Amino acid sequence: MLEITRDDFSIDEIVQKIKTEDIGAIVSFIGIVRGKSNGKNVNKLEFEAYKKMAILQLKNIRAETFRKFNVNQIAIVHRIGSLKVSDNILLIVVGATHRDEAFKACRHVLEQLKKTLPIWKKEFTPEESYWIEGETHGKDA
Amino acid sequence: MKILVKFFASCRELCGKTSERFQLQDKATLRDLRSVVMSMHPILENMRDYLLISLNETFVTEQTELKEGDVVAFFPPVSGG
Repeated sequence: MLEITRDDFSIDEIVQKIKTEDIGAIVSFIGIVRGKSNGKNVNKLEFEAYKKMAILQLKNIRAETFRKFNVNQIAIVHRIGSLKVSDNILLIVVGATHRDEAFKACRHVLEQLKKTLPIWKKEFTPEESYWIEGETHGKDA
Repeated sequence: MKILVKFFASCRELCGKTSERFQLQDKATLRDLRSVVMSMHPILENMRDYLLISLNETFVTEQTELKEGDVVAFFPPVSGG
């Protein structure tokens, strides 16, 4: 399951979907909207995606992670649109036979996604709004 | 040939549009297109050192030759997650 969506996700539903008999460990990561950023109060975030490219990049990241780690299932959901404090942003769920590979693969998916997934966030504070731009340059996956 | 250029995030706001078509000579490269886009939107010069460019939803080198119907996107470093 790879999805870029405006809708919230159900962690339980996605975990149930990737559970199979050969899986002994599931590791998940959930990114949520923080109420503070660099000492400033944050009212909301807005996420914009180049959706067609983002889906392709998710497929690349998933394929590369399957090549590097001994894991069985990878699900990634990234939300876009306007999100308020404590809203879910991102869900990564990795299923594997053993926990060690699942933890490593989940971390790997997250780090690759932060470098290459064409999604951008704009922070809104009570005083201003500004784009957050990543530090790395998108060419690793 | 005609090339569709899409702009995202801060690039979209700086250019004031989501997309634009550019006419280029045959065998033009992504680097040539970048120069044309920069001349039309000099405000993007502020982002020159870190601007990202994709061709048909893929990261490629600027030496890549373009062809009729290609879709190019200009955007800043990504910040999802």
